Parts: sequence; C-alpha cells; structure tokens
Amino acid sequence: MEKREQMDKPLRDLIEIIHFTENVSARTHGVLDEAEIYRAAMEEFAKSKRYTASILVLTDDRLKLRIAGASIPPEKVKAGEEVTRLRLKEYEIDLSKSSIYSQVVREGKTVQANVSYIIGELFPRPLASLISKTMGYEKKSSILTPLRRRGKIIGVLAMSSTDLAEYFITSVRNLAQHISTALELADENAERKRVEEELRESNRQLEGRERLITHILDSIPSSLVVFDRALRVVSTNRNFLEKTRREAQDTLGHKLEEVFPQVLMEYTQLAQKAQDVFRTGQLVEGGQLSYRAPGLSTRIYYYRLIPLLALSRACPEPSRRTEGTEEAVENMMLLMDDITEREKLGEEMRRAERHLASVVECANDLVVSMDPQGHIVTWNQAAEKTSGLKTEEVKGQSLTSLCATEQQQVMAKMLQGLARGESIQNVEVSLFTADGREVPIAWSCSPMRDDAGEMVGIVTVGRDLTEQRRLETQLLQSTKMASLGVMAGGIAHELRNPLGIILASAQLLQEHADDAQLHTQCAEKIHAATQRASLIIENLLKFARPTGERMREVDLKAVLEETLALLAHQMTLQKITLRKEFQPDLPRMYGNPALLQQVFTNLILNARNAMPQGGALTVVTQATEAGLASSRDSARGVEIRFSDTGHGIPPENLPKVFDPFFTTMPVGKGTGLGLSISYSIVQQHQGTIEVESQVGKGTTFTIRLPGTSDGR
Amino acid sequence: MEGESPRILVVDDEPDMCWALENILRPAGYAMTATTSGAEALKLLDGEPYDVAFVDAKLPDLDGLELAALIRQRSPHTAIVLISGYFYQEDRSITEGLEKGLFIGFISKPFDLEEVRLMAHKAVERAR
Repeated sequence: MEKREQMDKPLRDLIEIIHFTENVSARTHGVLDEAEIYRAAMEEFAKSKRYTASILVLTDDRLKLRIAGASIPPEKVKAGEEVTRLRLKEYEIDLSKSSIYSQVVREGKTVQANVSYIIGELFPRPLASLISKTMGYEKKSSILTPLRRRGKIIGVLAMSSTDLAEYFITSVRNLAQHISTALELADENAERKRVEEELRESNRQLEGRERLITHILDSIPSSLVVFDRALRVVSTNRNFLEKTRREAQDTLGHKLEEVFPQVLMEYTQLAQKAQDVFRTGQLVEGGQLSYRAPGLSTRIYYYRLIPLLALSRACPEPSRRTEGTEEAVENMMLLMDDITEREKLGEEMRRAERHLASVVECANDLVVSMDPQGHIVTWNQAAEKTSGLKTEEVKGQSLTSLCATEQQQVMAKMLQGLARGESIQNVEVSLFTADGREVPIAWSCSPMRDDAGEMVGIVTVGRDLTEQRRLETQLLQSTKMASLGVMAGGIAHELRNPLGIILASAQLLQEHADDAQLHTQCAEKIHAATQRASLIIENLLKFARPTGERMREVDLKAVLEETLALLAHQMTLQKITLRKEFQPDLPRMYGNPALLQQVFTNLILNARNAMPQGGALTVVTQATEAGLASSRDSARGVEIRFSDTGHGIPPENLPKVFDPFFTTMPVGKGTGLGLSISYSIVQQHQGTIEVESQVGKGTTFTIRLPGTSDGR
Repeated sequence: MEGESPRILVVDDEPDMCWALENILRPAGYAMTATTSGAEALKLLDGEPYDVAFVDAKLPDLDGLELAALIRQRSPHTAIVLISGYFYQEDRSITEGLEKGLFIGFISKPFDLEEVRLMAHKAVERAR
C-alpha cells in the first residue's frame, strides 16, 4: 500500500485496472451461465472504491437496454429510488432517447461521456439533476464500450469514475473483451454440452433400440445368422446359438465356414448361394438342411437367404430395393426354421398313409369306396382281380350297375339305406365280371362320416365267396351223401313193396292166362306200383343231385312237402306221426330250394334220430309280422318250426349243436355237420335258426327267413 | 286136406300187397282174410281161429315182430310167417325169431309165388 502511494496516480490507476481486469477474467472464465458472469464481474467492480461499472444488455427487440448488473452500492440505489420513485434495477434505457448508448450499440464505438449528460438525455431536467446529485454522478464520467458475443453486439459495458483518463479506454475495451470471451466460452461449453447431451441421448436411444432388436431377434423361434460380404458373421440370435451349441464370441466375426461344418457348407453350397444373393439382391428360398450340434440329435431346417440392403439405400426408397445392385446388399440374413417336428410328423403321416394304402391295396378282400350316391371312387387290387375290371374302367360308375342284373335291386336298396342314415349293412350280391361271369360276394358296407357326422362317402368290403361256396357245396354234398346212407334202408324197403307187388302181379298174369278180370287188376297194380317206385327214385335223385348256386323265388310250402314226401316212409317205419300245420299264403321269399331242402332234411332226420321209440313230429309254417333283425327292411317273414317229442338235448350240449362236427351219434352214424351246415345255409338266406329243448320232452328248431319286400 | 279149407290171415299195411297174397293163395284152396293194421289183426284172431298168419314186419301201429309175439300169446296154434321188404333172411332179428320159433318162416319182398305157396303149405302142416 505504502509503495503504491508513492507511485504516481495514473500508473496506480492503470495497475489497478489491469489487476481488476485480471480478476474479472479469472472469475468469469469457465463460468457457464451468462447471468453468473455478469454477477461475478459486478462483484469484482464492487470491490473497487473508485470505479463503478454496469452491464446493460439489449432487449430482444434491440430497441432498449436493460441493466444486467451494476456495482452501485445498494444504499445509493435505494436513495436514488426514493428520490425518483423509480425502480432503477428494472429501468430500461430507450435507445431512441440516448445518443450515447445508440452510438455504442448501433455503431460499435467506445464513447467517453459525462454521466450527468447521459442521465440528462434520459430523464427530464429536474429529475435528471436530482438523480445525478443523489447518486453522485455530477463529477463522474463514463467509458461505454460495446459488449460482444460471437462478434455480435449484445450490450454495453460502462465504467464510471470521477477521473477517467483517456488511456482507460483500452482497459475498458479489454475488460469488455474478457467478458465477451467468458460469454463465448460459456456458449461453446453450452453448445458442447448440448451436443454431448444429444449424443448421449441418441446413444441411449440407439442402445435402447439395439437392445430391443436383440431382444426381438432372441425371441424369434428361428435360427438367424447375419453375415457380411466377406461371409463373416455380423449378428446372430439366441435360438441359433442354443441350437448349434455355440458361444457368441466364437461365432460373431467368424467366417461362415468356421461356424458351419464343412459337409454342410458343401452340401448346401451356402457360400455360392450367398454370393449369388449379394450379386442379384434376390431372396433365395434355400431348401432343407440337416445340422447336428455336438451332443444333440440332428435337426432339420428350412433355410432362406434374405438380402439386407445398405441402410442409407434401404431407408429412403424402399420401393427401389428390388433393383438393388451390387453395392445395395450389404449384409445377408440366413434364416433357419427348425422343421424337424413337422418333417417327422409329415414323414409319419406319409408312412401311415402309405401303410394304409398298402393295407387296402394288399387286402385279399375287395375294398371299394364310393361317394354318397354310390359312385365308385377307389377300387383296390383285389376288386380288380376279382372283377377283371381296372380302376379306370369303374371309376365314377355306380357299384349297383356292376352287380348281377337280378340282384342290382338289393345293392341299390342297401346303398339307399346307408344314405338314409342306417349303419353297417351286410348283403350277398354277385358281381358281374369282365368275362361275363358272376362272382358271389359278401358285402359289408358302412358310411364314412366327417367330423360333423355328415355322410361323405360309403366304404364297402367285399369277400369273394367263390371258394367258400365251392367248399360249402362239397361239404353239402358229403352231408347229403351221408343223409342218403341213413335213408338208404328205408328207401330200399319202400322200393321193395312196389317191387313185390309188381313181381307178384306179373306171375299171376302168367299163371292165370284165361282170367281177364285178374289180368286187368294185375295190369293196374303193376302200373300203380311202378309209378310209386319211380317217384321214390325221382325224389331220391333230386335230393342227391348237386345243388344249383342261384337264389330264386321259392315256394316254401312246395319245398317242405317235397322233403316230407321223401322222408315220410322213414317216419312211418319208426312209428313217427307227422303233423303238418301249414299256413296258407305264406309271404314269398328268395332262396335256394335245394339248400333249404337240405336244411329241412337235416332237421327231420335229427328229429327221427331223437325218437327211436316213435313219437310225433310237428312241422309248422307261419308268416311273421315284424321283420328280422338281420333283414334290411321290415317286410314280413316266414317262420318254420320243427317240434319233436324225442329225448331232447341236455342243456350243456345246447350251445354246441350248431358247431361243426358236434355229434352225439356213434362214430360212423353221423357227421356232426348237419346242423352246422343248416346254420350256414339259413345265414346265407339272411335268416336265423334257434333251438329250444327239454330233456325227455322234445326239441324245437325254429327257422326264421325274411320274405321279399312287400313292394315286389 | 279134409274138411274145411285152411284159414289164412294176411296183415300188411299195403292194400295191394294184401290183394296179391289173396290172389296167390285163394286159388290154392285157402280161405283168405286180410287187414292193413295190427290192431285189426288181433281183433280178428280173437274172433276166429286162423291156421296161418302172414305178417308184414313193419306196420304203422305195431312192429311186425311185436305183433308176432302177441299172436303167439293169444293164438298159440297159429303158425306165423314174417314177410318183409325191410329185413333180409340173414338179419339178426329174423334168424333169432326163427330159432325161438316166434315165426316158422320168412319171406322177403319181392317174392316168388311158388315160395309163398310152399310157405303156406308148410305152415298149415305145422299148425295142424
């Protein structure tokens, strides 16, 4: 201090102002807030006893200046406000009123002026002098210099003192320059911060999006590998890593051939295909590939190569993507869908289908499927073989039209029944073959329904009965011969009677050559006895003759009478009384008379065997009202009952009587086939046969046969 | 043969067979009666004595062998001849019946007239 006082005043002032300027510069440098800069500067000014300073900044319209900071002591401000009744802090200087300020901010000049003069321009005279007086401005002068920010004048720095030398101007300018620098620095900082913040924000957004994309990629249930033009993996997803049991670090950045096994690369020609896609920009539907990760089972994938266009090109003009040229495709995505299960399922389905088809094709039985109207859709090998008709020949034809002419009605009726909602139907109808034969077939038809229960077709399985019929015929013939053996004794006796009469009459004729009356009698007896003998033989031959195969309309009563005639004598011999209770006008029926006669013969002979001591056999026929369960419609049927008064069948044998080879007769006396053949014959006629028996009282066999439908 | 003609009864369910036997034997001097049922035959035997009975082995109401046994019981002096189209000479029933004397002869159908006449003659001899 002492040293300073020894210095001359201008130098001291200069040092002070330099020192002061340095302080302001130090205080404001790096301060980021504009107001804070002004405040710090003012604080430094306030430390000075000799100078006051103020900073005024232009308003937005640049027509006024407002006080941004001032180093005027508060008590002086207060005194001034009391005198002027103005709020000086908020006082704005109207540039149009002040030539001094206008010169500074409009022309960029640094101006030195008397403070009273400046005040005088702004306020009316008495008020101006009052302000100058109160504030002590009378002897002060100010240096006003423009305050710039980035070269643009934003306001004014004013410094006032009682003694301001010319050389202060440079210092004030310097000071203003320092403040400007601080402001600009603040601006730069703010800008940098803003940019940094923007960057951070965009980074945050980017990170968020990246995370979202990664999340999306990881959530895709397909394997995904993105690689660049050098076939290096750029990105992949969790699905791929898990499926291939790879780690991200030994996948990302690696070439495709390091990621996929060589065999796979060669098999799929992946590299070649990728190059093509890079060249053409066209998506490639690759096809299937198998990949087996270590420790896992082989998976089958469907893969696609999807070109990814360069972002800059892809974004603005998506419509031009297809025209993408070489540069356009930057990356490629290999998308692999795991189709193992689907393939397995498909394979299983195909296998099941093949199996099913071969089951149908290889079946020994005819398998025919039809539409609901009965038109053939499929026709298997057995059907082709049996009929001699190829699938192409029968497709679309109705099955009915392929049946034997007189049985077409039966087939048509059954198909109609199915269409009406009836369930499985069994029927025997002959098929007309390519070479004009008729093959007997047992058909079992059932409707095919969809999930809604709607009938979508008919499937029928047919069994060629030719062989069965042949065996049946053989068997029938053998049993017939067996029956003949049983009958032989009785028949011989029956023949010996007329023979005896004929022989006796012939001899009488010879002996009594002259007795005309006896001659006539003898001739008559010979005639009658010969006729009787020949009838017996005729019946016998009829019975022994092999059975014809065809069903026709049958007069059941006639068949029964014929059978009974053949066996009547047997009955007589064994003192069996025959009672016939035949209902007239039985419903007509379809059948094979020879077969039915065999059934009746078997039952009558059985009855005879059951009555060695004689008895009664009652044969009853009557119409049944209700149809049979096995019959297709509710037409009337016929019931035939054979009741004997024989020894009966023990209950334990009753269920076995229709079994083949079941017999209680001594060996050589009965085949044990009679009833089983009868059973099968009745079944062929779609009838039923039942037995009731009581030991010691007798047995009743009841046959029920369906009549032809009423409409016929 | 003195006195009245020997009486012969024919039992056969076949009327024409009865007719034949009657026409064979009546000219030979026998008194012929015929019936087609066993019961009727027994009734006739109860009424009058018969020297010979020609019995058919199978009758609708009675077995011929049974009828023979009944006749033997009721009319022991009637000689019985079994006649049949069912049995043969070698059949057990026939050989046994002959051995036991149930019937004195057997004729199988068809037969020779001479055979019938011889058998009738033999039977009448036996009966008297």
